[in-house]
Amino acid sequence: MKTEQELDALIAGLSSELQPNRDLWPELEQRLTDSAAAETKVIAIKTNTWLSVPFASAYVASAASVLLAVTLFWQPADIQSLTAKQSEVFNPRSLDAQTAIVYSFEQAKAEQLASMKTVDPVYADWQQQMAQWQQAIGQVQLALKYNPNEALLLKQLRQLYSQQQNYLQKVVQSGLV
Amino acid sequence: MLRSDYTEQSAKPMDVLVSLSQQGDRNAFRQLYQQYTGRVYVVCLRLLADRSKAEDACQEVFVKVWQQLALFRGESSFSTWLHSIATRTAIDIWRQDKLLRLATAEMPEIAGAEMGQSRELEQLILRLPHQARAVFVLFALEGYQHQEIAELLGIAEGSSKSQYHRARQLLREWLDEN
Repeated sequence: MKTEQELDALIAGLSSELQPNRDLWPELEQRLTDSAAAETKVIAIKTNTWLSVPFASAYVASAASVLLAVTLFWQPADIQSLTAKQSEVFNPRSLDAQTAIVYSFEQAKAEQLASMKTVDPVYADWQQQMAQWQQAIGQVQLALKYNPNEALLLKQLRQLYSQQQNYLQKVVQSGLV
Repeated sequence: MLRSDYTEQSAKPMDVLVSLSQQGDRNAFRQLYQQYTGRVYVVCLRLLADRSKAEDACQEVFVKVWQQLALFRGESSFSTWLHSIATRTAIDIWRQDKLLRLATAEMPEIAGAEMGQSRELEQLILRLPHQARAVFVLFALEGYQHQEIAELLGIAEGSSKSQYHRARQLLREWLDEN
């Protein structure tokens, strides 16, 4: 067994930095923009005197009468286009978030593939494995078309890419040993 | 690297970058990000033992830094301030992870064939049990005291000490096996 001193020496030799395998900036920049937009929205709501407590009862009364009028007179017309318009309003940056994820992972993947020399026979079917991940990624991307900016789907997309990246890393390193 | 070892690499440019970032300059903030991302990421990866979560945590840290930059008064160095946010953010995620983590989760492969024995130790740290790993990383690599670790992780000081010794014991055994 290693002695305490040997372990201490190894610990002292550990690097104080490790770079992520892909560029996180494009996604981070998107998150900064989103957080700034959300902050502006909250400030706007907070500073709007028309949304203050004294007006609350008036709002409730107005909302109730509007609801009544809608219930009585509204004809179900173009529901789908209305829903689409609403989602456009609330998710204006949906494609950007997805693009940022795809861009950074695809860039990292291209670099990994470029550094590949030989492949250990254990990973002989690596291309097939990669294709399976790619198929899963494609399915999540398809789901994102229908549910843009859905946090869980974006997370799933990141995880699938990350798994693919981990696997590819192992394949690449198998050829370096 | 211990907390006290975090020194500003070049005082004036760093001050300027921080100041510009406080005024909302995205390019200046990007430079700060580029300078510190490695240090932030390593803490996140060692604590969370999952590359995807570490990347997420790393981004979360910089979002918090961006949002809280106005509160930074320069009473401590920027890197110390940033490091404190990084550690606390990673620990918050570590706490949530404690409840959700599956035993089958795959260990990330540390890149960099040139690292040799250090790389091996990095991999073994990620294999440590959840709490022992956190204590080990905070005490041995981040320079926190057991009392501070106990507060951060919500455990007894004695537990922190025993988990640390357990982690060392496991690492010594595993290093010998390999």
